[in-house]
Amino acid sequence: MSNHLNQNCERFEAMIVAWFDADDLSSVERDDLNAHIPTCASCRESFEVTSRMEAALMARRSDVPAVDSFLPVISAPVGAVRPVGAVRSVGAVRSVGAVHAHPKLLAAFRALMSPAGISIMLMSWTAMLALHFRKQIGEVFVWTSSDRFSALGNDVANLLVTISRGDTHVLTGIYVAVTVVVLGSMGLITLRYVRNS
Amino acid sequence: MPHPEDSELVARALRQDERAFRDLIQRHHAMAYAAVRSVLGDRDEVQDVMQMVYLKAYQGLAGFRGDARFSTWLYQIARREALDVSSKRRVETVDVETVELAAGAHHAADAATHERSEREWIASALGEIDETYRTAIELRYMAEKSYEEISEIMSVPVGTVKTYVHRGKAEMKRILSRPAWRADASKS
Repeated sequence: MSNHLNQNCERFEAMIVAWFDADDLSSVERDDLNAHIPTCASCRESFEVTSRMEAALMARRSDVPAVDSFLPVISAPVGAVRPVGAVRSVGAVRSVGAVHAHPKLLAAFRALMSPAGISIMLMSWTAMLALHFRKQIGEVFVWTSSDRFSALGNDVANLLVTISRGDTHVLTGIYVAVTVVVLGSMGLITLRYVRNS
Repeated sequence: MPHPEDSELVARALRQDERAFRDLIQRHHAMAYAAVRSVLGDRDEVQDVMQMVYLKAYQGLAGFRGDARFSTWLYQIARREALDVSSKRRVETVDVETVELAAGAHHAADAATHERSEREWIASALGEIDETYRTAIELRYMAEKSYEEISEIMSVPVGTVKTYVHRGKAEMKRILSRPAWRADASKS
């Protein structure tokens, strides 16, 4: 193709690309192009290149393989014996079919079994345990606040003893605040995990 | 018999109707394949990525809320999976590719006379253009989608899709106008 296209040819060059899109050229423009191409060697060559390119692009439709080759496991009916292939996640799909669980339950289960879900469960359990045994924990601190511990240790122990003896509102407030922050963060992480999985 | 809407097939698939899921995937298979190919080309990983895309779609269908079209949702999964593999592959093989490129440059003169099929030239030209243009072109030709459908899938206006396709084809044409392709064309 000639690199020395005149201004007129530049206009036709854009029209040649648009020619192959049925609705992109007006009938007047099509007539103009039809009249110009026989008289201009560079535009004729450009049209030929574009035409070949379009034909080759159209031929790409046949490159799409059958969907069956990508659905080796899912295509089997639920409950049927399924071939175990080399695909990494085949087990996951088989278990989905075998359990017959509701998808929302499955999503909840996946969320619970995610690292974030397990962390939340562990923290909740620890928090409940700590609240339940707060009196005993306080007693341990009383014991440890003997002569063997520093003044700082004494202060901390006294504070906890005070809290565990009477003012549980402060302790509860601290727990609630920390739990809200941690659970909120973990909840967001879990949501992102579930969305991405 | 009229074809059921995507939303209906999704609802049936969520009730463990695997036939409905299969129909859904069948309907959008070319689009998903084109999306993966636009990122990975014709690499060996395409097969594995496609399987992963459908597994992810199957497993994540419960999370599909219907805010967007199913095709858009599937396209995003396909694209994310392909980009994920592509980025890993890039890290793993950067040295090898560098060597191959250097060798390719050395034998550039030979390449001009090397006979290649029309399809290979097109694939090669597609590989050289901007990825966004390539995606739009693959969706248009390989998946046979209209501009309106591509607009929904890629979440951009119709006019932008047309621009992507036209600019992409103009770039391809420039690449294909190089002497090597023209010389090869004259032989065939």
